[in-house]
Amino acid sequence: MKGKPLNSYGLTKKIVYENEEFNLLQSALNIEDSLEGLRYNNIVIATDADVDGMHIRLLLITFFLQFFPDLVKNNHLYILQTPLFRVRNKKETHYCYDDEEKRAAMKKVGVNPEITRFKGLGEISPNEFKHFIGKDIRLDPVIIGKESTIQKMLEFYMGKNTPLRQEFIIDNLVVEKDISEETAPAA
Amino acid sequence: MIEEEEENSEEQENLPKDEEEQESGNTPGNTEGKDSLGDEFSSGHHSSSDVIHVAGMYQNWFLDYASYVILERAVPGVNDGLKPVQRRILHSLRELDDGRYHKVANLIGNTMKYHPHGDASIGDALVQLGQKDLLIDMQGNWGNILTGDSAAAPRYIEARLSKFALEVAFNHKTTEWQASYDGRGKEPVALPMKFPLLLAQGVEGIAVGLACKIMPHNFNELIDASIKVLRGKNFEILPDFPTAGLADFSQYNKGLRGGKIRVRARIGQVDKKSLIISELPFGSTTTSLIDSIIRANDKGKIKVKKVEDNTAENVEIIIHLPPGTSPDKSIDALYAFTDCENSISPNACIIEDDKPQFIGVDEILKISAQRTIDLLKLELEIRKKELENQWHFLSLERIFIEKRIYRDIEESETWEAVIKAIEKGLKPYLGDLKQEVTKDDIVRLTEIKIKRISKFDSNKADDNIKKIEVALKEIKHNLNNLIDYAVDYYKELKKKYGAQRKRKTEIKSFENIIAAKVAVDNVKLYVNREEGFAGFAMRKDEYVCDCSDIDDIIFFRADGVMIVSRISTKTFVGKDIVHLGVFKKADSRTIYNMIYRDGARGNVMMKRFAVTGVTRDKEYLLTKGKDSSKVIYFTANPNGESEVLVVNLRPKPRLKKTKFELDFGNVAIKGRGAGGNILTKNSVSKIVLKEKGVSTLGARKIWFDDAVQRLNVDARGDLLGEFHADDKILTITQSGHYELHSFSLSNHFDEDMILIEKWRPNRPVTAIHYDGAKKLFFAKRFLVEAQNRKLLFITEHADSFLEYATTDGKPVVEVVFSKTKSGKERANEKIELESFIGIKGFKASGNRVSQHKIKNIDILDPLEEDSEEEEAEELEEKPTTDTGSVDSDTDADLTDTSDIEEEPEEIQDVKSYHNKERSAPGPAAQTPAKQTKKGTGDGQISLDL
Repeated sequence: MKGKPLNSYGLTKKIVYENEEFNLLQSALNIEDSLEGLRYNNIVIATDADVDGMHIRLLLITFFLQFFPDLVKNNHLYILQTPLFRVRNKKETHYCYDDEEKRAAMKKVGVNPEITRFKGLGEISPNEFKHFIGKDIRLDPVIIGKESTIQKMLEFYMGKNTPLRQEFIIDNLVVEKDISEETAPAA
Repeated sequence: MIEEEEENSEEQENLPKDEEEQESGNTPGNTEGKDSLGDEFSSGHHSSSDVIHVAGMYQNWFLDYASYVILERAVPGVNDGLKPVQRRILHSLRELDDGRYHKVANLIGNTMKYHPHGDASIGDALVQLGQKDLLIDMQGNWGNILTGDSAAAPRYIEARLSKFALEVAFNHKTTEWQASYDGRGKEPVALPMKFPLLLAQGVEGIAVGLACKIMPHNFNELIDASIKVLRGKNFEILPDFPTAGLADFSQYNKGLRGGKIRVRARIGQVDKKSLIISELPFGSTTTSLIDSIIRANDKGKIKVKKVEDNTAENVEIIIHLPPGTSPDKSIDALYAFTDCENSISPNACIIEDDKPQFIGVDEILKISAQRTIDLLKLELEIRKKELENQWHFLSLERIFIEKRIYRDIEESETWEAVIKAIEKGLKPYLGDLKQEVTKDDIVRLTEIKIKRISKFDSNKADDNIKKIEVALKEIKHNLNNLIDYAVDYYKELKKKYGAQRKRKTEIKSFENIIAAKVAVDNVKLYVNREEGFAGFAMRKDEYVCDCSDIDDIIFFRADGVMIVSRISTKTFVGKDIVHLGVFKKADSRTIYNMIYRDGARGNVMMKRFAVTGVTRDKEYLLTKGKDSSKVIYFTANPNGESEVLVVNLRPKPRLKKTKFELDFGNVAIKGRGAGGNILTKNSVSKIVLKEKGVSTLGARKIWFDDAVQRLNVDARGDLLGEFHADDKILTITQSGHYELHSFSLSNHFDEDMILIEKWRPNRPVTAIHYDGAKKLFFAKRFLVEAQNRKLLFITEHADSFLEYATTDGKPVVEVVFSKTKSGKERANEKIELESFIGIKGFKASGNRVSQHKIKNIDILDPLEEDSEEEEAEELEEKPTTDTGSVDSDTDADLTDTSDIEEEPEEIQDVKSYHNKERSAPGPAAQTPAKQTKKGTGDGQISLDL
C-alpha cells in the first residue's frame, strides 16, 4: 500500500467499499461477509521503522479494530519487527532491534564498529531481509482486551483533537537523541 | 507494505515463542494502561521480550509520531524561525554557496544528506521559501502566489542565497552543531539568525494535536520594533501581506489563539456597470476567488453578468454587473458572500527548548531581539579572542626578531635545548605580553620563514600591531555599548535592504456587513391566504413579492395574531392570512394601520403601530385577546402613510349617521401591544378607501461615519442631516470632482473625498483651483447641477489641482505672495470670495486670484451669513423630545412635527409637514421652520414627497 491509509475512525462501513485500498484489502483477505472466509491465518503489518511507519501501523490497526474487530480478537494480526540498526565490522554483522541490543552488539564488535540506522524497509537488501522473515522472525501480536476500553482508546488517539489530548502530547513529548550520543560507548 | 503470510499448522513452530506466550496473554493481567488513558503509564518502548497490549502500542507509537511531527516537522523553532526542513535547505545552500545559481535539483539532492525524506517535500519547501522573497534569489519560473501557478520542475529552476541571508543567517563560529541523521555530516541545531525571520515570513504548519499559523509582517516595521525592544520602549506590530489588500486587525490579539483578523480584496468601481478587484485578500488566489464569485452567483447570493480575469503582472479581475444592480450594494455583497472577505484565525505556536509553546508575536519579537544581541555579542567576543591571539603572536614574533633571540638556538643540539633556549631568551620580555607563552607558540616561532628575518620591516610589524590594537579598542567599545551597537546594526539592515519593502496591506476598520441587508432577491414569495401557507416553492399560488432566501417574513392573521418566520419552501402559519411581507428587523418606518372588532360583538378598534423586535416563530396578539376578534381592515405603510377611509356602519334603528370618515393620520402611532382607540361601538358593514395617505413620518436622519467611510442611521459619526426621499448628498473630492449621491446606506465614497454634506441646491460651491496650463490660481463659484454623474470642475491639465472648496456662504481667504523680483515682501491680501466673483457655471474658470505670484493661500473664518439665507453647516445631534404622541419605543429616526420647535436654526429643511388643505388636529402641530427653501419666504409650509 502506498502512502498513508485513511484514518477510518468514526467512518461507516461504506468507506471500506469506497476506498480503493481498503476494498482491495478486504477482498484479498476474503473477510467481506464474515470471518469464516478468512484466507490467511496470520496477517502481518510491515512498515518502515521510522515515525511515519508508526503512524501507518496505527492507521491500519484502527481500520481493523473499526470494521473487523474479531479478526484482531482472534489473534490474526501481527506487527513485523524490523531491525533498527546494523552493527558490524570486517568480520561480524549484528542486526539490532533496539538500543539495548545495539549496545550489546557494539560491545561484542569492539573498536570501530560501523553502525547503520535502518529508516525504511527499502534500505534492507533482499538477502538481508530473508533472515528477518525466516525462522527468527520477530512478530508482535496485536492484543485487545475489553471492548469498551478499545472504543475510548480509539476516540482519544484517532478522533478529533481535544485539549486533553494536546496536553497529553505536550507533557509526554519524546525527544530524539543525537546519533552521536548513541555511537558513544554506553556507560 | 503489508505482507500476508500463508501459514498452516505445520509451520506454526516458525513463529517465535512470543506466540505461545500470547495465547495465554489475553488475560487482564497483561494489559497496560487499560483504564488509565492520560494517567500514569509505564516505560515507553516495547522490546521483543515482553508483550504489549494494543493500548500500549497506540500510546507509544502515537507519542512517537506526534512528537516527531511537532518537534521535527511542522512547527518552527523560535531561535531561527525555521522548520527543520527549511533549516537543512539553507544549510545545504550555504554549503554549496559560491555566488552562482545552482540547479534546484542539485540543491534538493544535497539537502537529502541532512533530511532523510522525499525529494518532493524538500522541493516544495524550497519553492515556498523562495516565494517569500527574503532569503533566496530565484532564477526561472518559481510559480506565482497571486494566481496559484506552480513552479517549473526542479531540473529547470535555479537558486542561491540572497545577500541578506548571507549577512544575517550564517556564521560558522556562532552556530551550534550536531551530527546528521546518519552520523556522516554536521548540521546546525539552529541557525544564528540575527533577524526576526519568523515574523517576517510567517509560517503555517499542521502537526498532531496542535497547529501553527503565524502571519507575515513588514520588514521595516519589524526592524523599527526590534529597535524599540532594545531601547525598552513599547511597540505594536501588525501583519503585512505580500498580496497587499486590506485588513482589519482590531482583534489580532498579538497573533495568539483566539484572535481573528479579517482580510479583504481591494474592490474599486470602474463605472456604474463594472467593478475591478486590484488586490487579493491574504489566503486567496485569483482562481479561488473567481471560483467563489461564480459559486455565489450560482447560488443566487450575488448577481454578476461576467467575470474577466486580466491578471498579468498585477491582479486585475473585472466583474461586469447586470444592468440595474447597484455597484455599491454589489461590493458589499461580494464581501459578504464570496472570498473577497475572509476571516483568518492565527495561532502562534513555536518550539522552545524542545517544547511547543503558545506565545504572542510581541514575545517572539523580544526573543528574536535578545537572540540577535546575544549573537552580536558572541561574534564580538570571538573576534576579540582572535585579535588578541594575533596580537600575542605578532608581538612575540617582534620580540623574537628584534631581540635576535633566534641567535640563541645556534648552539642547541637537541630539540629540547632549542625550546629551552628560546624560552630563556624570551623570559625578560614576558611582561610586554598579555598572554602566557605556550609551547605551541615557541614551536611556531621556530617555523618562521627565514626570509622574514631579513625583510623584516619593524615599522610594518608595528603597524600591524597597531591596527590590531585599534580594532581591539573598537570591539571593546562595542561590547560595552552593546545596545547601541545592535541598534546600529538594525539601522544598517534597514538602509541596505528595506527600501523596496514598504507596507503593502492597508490597515482599516471594517464595518460589519449584515448579510440580510445585502442579500439579493433571489426567490419569489407566494401565499395561499385561506389555507394559511406561504413559501417560495408554491408557484401555483398568489405571488407576493421578490425576496431573498435568508429573509424573514411577517404574517398577520385575521384573528389578530402576528408571527415572524424564516422563509422556506412552504410554511404553515395559520388560516386566513390578512397580510404578509418581508420583515426587516428594527424597521420603525413601516407603520401598520389596523381596524379590528374586539370579540364577537364588541367595539371596533383602530390602531397604528410598528413592529421592531420580535422572537421568530412566536405568536403575538394584536387585539385585546377576546375570542372571535377579527381584523376588519389592515394596511402596511412603508413610510408611515396614513390614508383616509369612509366607514359604513350597519343600519340600526336610531342610528342617524351610517357613514363617516376616518383619517388614520389622526390615530396616534403606539406599540403593537396597545389595544387601540375605539372607532365605533356599532358594527361596521364596509370600509372604503377615500384617499391614499401621505407619510406621517418625518425625514430620515443620516450620519456619516468617517472611520469606515460609510453612511449609517445608527448615530455613528457626524450627522449630515435629515433626508426626504429625493434629498441628495454632495461630495467633493481632492481630484476636483463633485458628485451627487442618494442617501442609500450602501454608498461607497472615493478615498480622496474632502467634503460630504447634504446637498442644498441653491448653495453655491466656492472653489479655488490651480490651472496647470495657465499656471495661475483661479477662484470660482458655481451651483451644483442635478446630475447623477461625477463631474470635474477644475481644468484637466496634469498639474491642475483643487486648492480649496467650500459651501460656506461667505468664505474668506488670505493670499500670501512670493517675494517680488526686487526681493521685497508683498503684503498679504484678504479676499472675500462671495463678492470677488459671481456665480457661474461649473465649467467656468472663474477669476484670477491675483496677478502676482502666489506662495500659498490660507483659509480664514467665513463671514457671518444673513439670517434669511441658509446657514452654514455645523450639524449637531438634537435631542428628540417626546411629546407623547410618538411612542417611546420608536427610535431617533421617527421624528414628530412638534420637534421642530426645539430645533436651533441650523437645520434648514422642514421636517414634517402636512398638506395645506387638510385640517390637522392633534399632534400634527405645524411650526414652520425658520428657514425654508429660498424664494418661498418664511412661514410657508412646503409639501414635498
